[in-house]
Amino acid sequence: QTRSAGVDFITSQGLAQSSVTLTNAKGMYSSTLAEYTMMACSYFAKDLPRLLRQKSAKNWEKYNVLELRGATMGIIGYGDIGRACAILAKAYGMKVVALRRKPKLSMFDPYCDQVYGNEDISKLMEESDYVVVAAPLTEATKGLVSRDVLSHAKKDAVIINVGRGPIIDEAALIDALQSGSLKGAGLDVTAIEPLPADSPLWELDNVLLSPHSMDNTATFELESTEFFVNENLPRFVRGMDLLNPVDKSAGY
Amino acid sequence: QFKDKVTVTNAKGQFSSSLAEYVMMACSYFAKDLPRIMQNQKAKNWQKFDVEELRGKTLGIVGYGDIGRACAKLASVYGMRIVALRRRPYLSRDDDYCDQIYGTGKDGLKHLMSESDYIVCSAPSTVETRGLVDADAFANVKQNAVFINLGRGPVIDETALQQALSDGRLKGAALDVFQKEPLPQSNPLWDLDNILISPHNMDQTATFMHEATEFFVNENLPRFMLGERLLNPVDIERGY
Repeated sequence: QTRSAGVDFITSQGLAQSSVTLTNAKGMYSSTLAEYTMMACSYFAKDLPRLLRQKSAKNWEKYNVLELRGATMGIIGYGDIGRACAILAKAYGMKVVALRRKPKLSMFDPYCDQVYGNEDISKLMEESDYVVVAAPLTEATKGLVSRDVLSHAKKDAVIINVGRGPIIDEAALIDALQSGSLKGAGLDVTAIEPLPADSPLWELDNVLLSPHSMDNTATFELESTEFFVNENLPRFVRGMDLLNPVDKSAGY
Repeated sequence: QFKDKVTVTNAKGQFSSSLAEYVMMACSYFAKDLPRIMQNQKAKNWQKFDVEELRGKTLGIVGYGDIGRACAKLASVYGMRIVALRRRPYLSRDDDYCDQIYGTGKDGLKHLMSESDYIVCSAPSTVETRGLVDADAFANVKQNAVFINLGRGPVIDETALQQALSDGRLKGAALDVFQKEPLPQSNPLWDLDNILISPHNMDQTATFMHEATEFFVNENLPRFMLGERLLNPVDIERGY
């Protein structure tokens, strides 16, 4: 039983082939990450950086703000975290387009207006004002958001990553942010963590960077430990089915 | 002086959505400690720290009209508990989003302040609401509360607010409206660290003028010409 949702740090070949059951703490971080995602969207929609600059300069200057209502959120990786984001986005009046390995599983999901499989990722990019990467890191998702995929982004799109850094081609991301083909990015995860001091991401003023901490609630350790102690440990001891099994060959 | 002659109608309800979005952003700004995140980013400092959730916290809404209700609707999806205050509490007795509703007696406001982690003031400025949120109200706030004003500046006692921010009784505030607008450069609010200031523009969407005009042209103007009842009448005596 891992205390995290992500299991990409477990790289043993032997584990995949063994009969050991691996379970994780998925679902425990969804709420706080969904809150962060909506905050990151609003950060760009209301131009929070501009508000803060104007405050420093004691400058009272009115400007137009954007609404999330009516905009489209594209969610890459429609698991617990993706779904929690969709639920909030829908409450805001956003259109939701989701992408997952097995799109049929979400065919009747009330929080999705459209579901795509991996092969339609460029379509998702073309339709989305706010792209949220909420997928786990696996062989299939590594580098999924490539330079080519990024080139399909809508004008003024914002990308938010609450999945894993390596899912996005970081060099291509930096280029897109520097050239303005992406309006901005909210990154709670990066390819290398901690982010090296020489990464241009620190200095780009259209990037909101956080140290993989948006799921670090005061209670998360307690809750994931409680989950093990109250749920899976008793199940294991009694030989019952365990919750949150990880598909070792799929990697999540 | 207009009482018997002219009917006044307004554009209420048109701005609720954008303002509700602003409220949730302001709450998250403090919950996730965005100022600290941005400071760390500037210093290239990778420093993890705990963040708070809005889920499970209480949002107190002073003035439960269209804007207040739009905030409640959104906050309830976040899993927040909602407490509201309005002149005629019985009107919201069966409201889907409110867990508790108070009337405008002094005790009502005190209760709301003492129960809320985030307080939103969305009341209109009337004879009754002027200075409603005063030093007494701020004296009753919960530890680490955040105050958001998007109704009208005069509803709160700005000096009392400033005092509560300076002495740490309030964790922070987000203000879109002020007693005097534009906010004079000499006003000490500009210098406080724990405050988010916006120039009364959180409802200024690119389409708002367009939508408000459309509302007049498509809804009330035809109604007026056909002698029908108008939408959004303003009670001139009450002031809203």
